[in-house]
Amino acid sequence: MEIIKPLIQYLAVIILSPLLLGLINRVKAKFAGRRGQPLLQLYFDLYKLSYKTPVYSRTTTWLFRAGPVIGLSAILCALAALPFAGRPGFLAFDGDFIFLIYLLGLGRFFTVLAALDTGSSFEGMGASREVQFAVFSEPAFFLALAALSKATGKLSLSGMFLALEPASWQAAAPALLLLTAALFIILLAENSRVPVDDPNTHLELTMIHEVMVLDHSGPDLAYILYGAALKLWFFGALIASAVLPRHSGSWLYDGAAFLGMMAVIAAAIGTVESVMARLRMIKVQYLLMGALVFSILALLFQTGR
Amino acid sequence: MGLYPLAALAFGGALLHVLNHALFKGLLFMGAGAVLHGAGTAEMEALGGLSKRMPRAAFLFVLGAAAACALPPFNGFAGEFLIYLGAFSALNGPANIVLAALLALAVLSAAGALALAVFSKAAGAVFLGEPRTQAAAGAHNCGPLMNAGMTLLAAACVVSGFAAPFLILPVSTALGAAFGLRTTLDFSGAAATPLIYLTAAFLALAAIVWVLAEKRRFFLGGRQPAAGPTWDCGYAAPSARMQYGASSFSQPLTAFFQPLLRKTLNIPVIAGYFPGKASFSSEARSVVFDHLYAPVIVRLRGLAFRFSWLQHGRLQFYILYIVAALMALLLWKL
Amino acid sequence: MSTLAELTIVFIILLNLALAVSGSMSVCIRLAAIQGVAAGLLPLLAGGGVMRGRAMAFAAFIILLKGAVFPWLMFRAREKTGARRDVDPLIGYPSSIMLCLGAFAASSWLGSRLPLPHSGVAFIVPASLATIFTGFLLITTRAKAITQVLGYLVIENGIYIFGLALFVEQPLMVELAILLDVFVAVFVMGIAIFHISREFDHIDTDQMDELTDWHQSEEGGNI
Repeated sequence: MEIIKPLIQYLAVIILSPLLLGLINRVKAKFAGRRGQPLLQLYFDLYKLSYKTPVYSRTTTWLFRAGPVIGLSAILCALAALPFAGRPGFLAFDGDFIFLIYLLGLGRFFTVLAALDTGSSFEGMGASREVQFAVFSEPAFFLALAALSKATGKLSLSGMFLALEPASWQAAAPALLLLTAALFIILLAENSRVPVDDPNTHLELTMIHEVMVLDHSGPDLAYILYGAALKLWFFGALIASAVLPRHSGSWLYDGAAFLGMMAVIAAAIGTVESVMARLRMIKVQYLLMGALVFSILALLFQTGR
Repeated sequence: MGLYPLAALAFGGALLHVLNHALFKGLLFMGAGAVLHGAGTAEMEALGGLSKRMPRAAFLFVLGAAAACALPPFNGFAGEFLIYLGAFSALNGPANIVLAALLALAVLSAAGALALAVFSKAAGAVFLGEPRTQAAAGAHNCGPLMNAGMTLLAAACVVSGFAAPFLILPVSTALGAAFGLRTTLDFSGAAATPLIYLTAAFLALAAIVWVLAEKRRFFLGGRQPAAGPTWDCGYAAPSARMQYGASSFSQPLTAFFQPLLRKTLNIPVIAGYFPGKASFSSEARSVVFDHLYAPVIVRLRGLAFRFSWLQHGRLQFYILYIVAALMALLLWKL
Repeated sequence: MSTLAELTIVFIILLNLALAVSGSMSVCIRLAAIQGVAAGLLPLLAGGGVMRGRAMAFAAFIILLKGAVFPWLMFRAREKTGARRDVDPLIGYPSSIMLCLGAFAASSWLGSRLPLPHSGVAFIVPASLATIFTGFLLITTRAKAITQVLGYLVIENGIYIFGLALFVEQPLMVELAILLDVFVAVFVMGIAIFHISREFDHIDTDQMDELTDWHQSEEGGNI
């Protein structure tokens, strides 16, 4: 088992992921004609928050303090198993993507419980909507990965991405296109991007992810923000690995291409956020059902081949 | 027949899940019993904030709820993982098997997400937040024996989560008794490697949690966090009834599935600019019970009622029944 | 080229899903027009790159008809009758999209059972059957008369794609004959809708379920 390369990949992910959010904000600012926040703003925010003294509500219990820790641990553990530029991370085994999706579920469970712990109706609203969206996005996620598994014939994430050649894009173009679209919609939903949720405002209309963490402060909030950046990297890496099928054999070249693709995806997210408004709550359900339908279609196309 | 190993994997996963299910379901039911004992009611809309009054029970219930949602690293995960793996392996088979696998995957994942919604609702509405009624505010803690029972089961949940590869042996034995040696070998061969990797991943997860908790303590640097009320957006008089209750938490989902659930809503008519008191109620009766079980049971009861004349309470006739039955058996055997 | 044809088929199937769920009539008319144009382009893409003059002329004619003439007729019918903008579906979004998806799965299965010649492009038969089914869905679950004409147009798109799968000798001649029928039908229906709306002040077929003679006889009028 290699140690050095996966370790360097893991460190790269841990250090570079807050940059993605900075990129997205910069793209949105460009669209709005502003200059925008510095690219490294999230790093400064994390540093500032880590050394602040938190304020805890008297209603909260141990769950409120444990929620951010468990959420961040879940996504850090998931990143250890995530392939980087098509190459496996620390852990790669048959069915590892099932473990990854359930790790995200673990983070979601404890975030929701920490939100309900505050006894505030705002957090309850966000938690209720969060679990509702999960009912639609998790089947879509599983079926998109099922379509990918069928297209490549492998059962582990790194196996699937390693088996994707430009020839497989030729052969299975409709299925791969549809599942990439489904994964992109799921990325928008899970990371609270427009059109599912507005990451900037705290109005009742957009109370989903942002409001679940309304009462956190200090190091807890730093953990949550960092976890959100890592989760964005997670979904972006899945899309980048699916879209970039070239494996030139050189670790450096592939890694650079992968990082470039992540930047392109961040720009794409920023563009989508700038040209669309947030959807009505009912329409968000339909959007996620659309992602589910894309995944099912991708699987059916791959079957009929 | 390349499909044989997949069936073994999925079936073994199901058996493993049944085994783990016994552990966490027992824990959850005990938790419900503790709540009923402490607060005197099991109505979720009337509870809340019990985590401060019965902390040990709350902790163990949350653990059981996490295991019930099949979350890693608890024991519910391993069985579901094997079932998923079986379904994914089935995708390489013929077309009708692929359709069955698609259906299985869609239903399994939707059910998993619904389970997460349900258990976060249950744990949240009962134990977290502020108490909604006096009964909840005055709840008393359960005794040490109750806590001991729950702790035992919770420890079993955690241990069998981390030691899932050891559970392959009893499951393989069961499979072998039912289906033969080949199934046993298929199952243990396919399930061993992933489960061992999973245990390694669970240990990594536990290590990361410990590291992050220590880091947090370091960041706090010995300072005492400040205490304050929950942020209420400047509202002047927040009350405990304003929290999200159990039915309001699940309202988006129940609204989506309304054609199946047939919830009845009792919405008041509000007229005028300064309306007075109004009350709203919603009830979700079990559709399966009302339309499937109840008619059948009523019919069965009616049928059985026809024979109620047999039960009249007179001892002599009961003795006559016994003698008649013995005579009939004797004549039949002759 | 075959990849491009396959992607066009996928696009047509996605248009079916969009037709099943969209709620605005102008969007539906445009979607049906785009689907007709895509169906018209298919023989050029699936022909293996051989661009015969006659094939191109036919394709251009069909694209003009389905992409420009039919939408124009439908929009005119809608303005003349002053119909409302939305479509009034009788079943909700989740049910319609699941029905459409189920139709695609069923037509895939059906396509594998039918003894058809193996065409170079995959999914032609499932796409055509799914399009025909979407047309039926539009006809049965929408209450306005214009959307029923739209459903008929979508069915015709599906039949056209199915004709491609059959590799009939001179398929375009047969198709042109069908297209002429459809053209006349749309024309006639357009005129009929205009007259219906002038007579009844609406084109809601849901409400046109009784003969007025029956009404009069019940109220004691003259038969």
